[in-house]
Amino acid sequence: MTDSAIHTSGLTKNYGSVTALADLNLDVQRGEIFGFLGPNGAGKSTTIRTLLDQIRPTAGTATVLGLDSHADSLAIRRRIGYVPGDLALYPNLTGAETIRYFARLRGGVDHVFIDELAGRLQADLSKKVKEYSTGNRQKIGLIQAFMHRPELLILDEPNAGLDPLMQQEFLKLLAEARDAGSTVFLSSHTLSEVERIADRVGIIRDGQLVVVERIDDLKRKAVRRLDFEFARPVAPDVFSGVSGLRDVAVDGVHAHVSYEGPVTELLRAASTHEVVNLTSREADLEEIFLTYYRKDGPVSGEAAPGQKESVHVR
Amino acid sequence: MFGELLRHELRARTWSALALGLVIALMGVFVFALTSGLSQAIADMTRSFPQALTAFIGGGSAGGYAVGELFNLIAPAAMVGYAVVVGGSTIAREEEKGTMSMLSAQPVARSSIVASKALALLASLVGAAVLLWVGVSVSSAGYGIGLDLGGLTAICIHLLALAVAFGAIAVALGGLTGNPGLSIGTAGVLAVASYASNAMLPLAKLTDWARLSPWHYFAGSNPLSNGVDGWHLLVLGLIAAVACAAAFVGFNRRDLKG
Repeated sequence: MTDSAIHTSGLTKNYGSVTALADLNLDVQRGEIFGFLGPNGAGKSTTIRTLLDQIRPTAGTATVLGLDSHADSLAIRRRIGYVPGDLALYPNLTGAETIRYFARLRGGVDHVFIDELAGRLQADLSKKVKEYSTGNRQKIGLIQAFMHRPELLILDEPNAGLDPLMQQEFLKLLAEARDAGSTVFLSSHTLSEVERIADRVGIIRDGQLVVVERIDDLKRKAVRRLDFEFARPVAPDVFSGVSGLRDVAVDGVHAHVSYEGPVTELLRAASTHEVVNLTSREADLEEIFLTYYRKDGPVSGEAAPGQKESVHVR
Repeated sequence: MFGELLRHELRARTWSALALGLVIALMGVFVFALTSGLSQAIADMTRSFPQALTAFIGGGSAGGYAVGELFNLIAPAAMVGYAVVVGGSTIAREEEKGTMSMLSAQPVARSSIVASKALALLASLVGAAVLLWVGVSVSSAGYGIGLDLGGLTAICIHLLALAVAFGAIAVALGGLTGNPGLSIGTAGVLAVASYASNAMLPLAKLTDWARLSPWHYFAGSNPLSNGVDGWHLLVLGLIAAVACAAAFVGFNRRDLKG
């Protein structure tokens, strides 16, 4: 288990008859950035709060940095940095006082690094927290999470309110943390927030982990699109029999095709007619995620989403 | 790290505790000034009251009606009210506001969080009680009321113990439930109901039942005249100790909110 930054085994949390987490088996390797994705209410924060011993599991166990999440919680919390989902700070403290308070609770924090973080995130620490915008409050949360260079960063939807420039800086901070050997567990409800930085992603839905994939593999699997323009109108069944097809729409001389896997067969079918123009569109990861998010989407072990072929004729 | 937690809590409590202490101390000064100037008129008025009413409003206290009102109603209501409101919210409000999520993710034990909050409340109540004691001691001497300094000290100590007991009950409810409204409401109702039962049961010749009320151990031994009652203070201390233990156990075991 020591290779895992986070390892959960059969982690289950029930609130009365409501199951928030169901038999969650999760493994996050040391040194990776792991995107933890799922719609609101899927169980992301419940998982994180269990790892932090803020709530206790109904069944199952979790280890963080090789330590038991409950018995060794204090030792774990010394070594992690955390930004909660709905970040709330003490309204009457200034940003600087807030950081100082959390730094003193930890002890041994490098104040030069705090200044560096504040500079990079352009955080104004002089005002009282109640006067801050959401984004500025979030910066305080991020500084306190990074300030002690933790071995593991657990960030629950940390992008809230950050402007695009700061998001860029935030991603840089994450990459630097990974380069320094730290692990990042990054929860989000949208793929675009983690797509650029995560090594792997796990998708949770209704308290169940439905898939864990490398981002690269997902991209390879993702649905791609080709738009054909033919010299003359083509028959609706022009691509029939081609494997990997997901969606075909034929409209006279135009055909819009979504497909998975190799493109050879598709091109061979198209080239039986005179192709005037061919446009390729970017792999659409979001679609694959949305499929996993939907209630009737596949669960782990089932076929990848979107295997069914459908043909539309306009 | 505990020192930092405690410092943070004390800082959060300072102004409210100072305000509480100054208000009740000033009330003490006014009451003693009033007693000094109008003692004969008040004595004549209360003498005409039925004995039961005089006992209920504290008219039989040393120093007379106004001093009785100060120590039986005004100061306890302020001290116990503060203890209940602060005690019931000190843990639970952090959960309601969401700051507990950050605090409990720091390398501090949950028991340290409870201890720092309980100690800060205790310090606030001690501070307020000391201000009251200074106010009444100085004004008693200044206005020539002639109350014994030992008696004034004793009633302030008993008052402090009463407020600590109710404060601890409120802290326990907050620690057990994480719900500030419920904690303050329950502890407040308990304080009012036990005050009423302590005042009324003896009038119905049910003096023994009044012993169930913490208020009995505040003024039942008449500390203003008789000095400190160690046993009564012990009872209030035990209530506080049991409540604190419940707060520690409850807060350690349950899921945190927020």
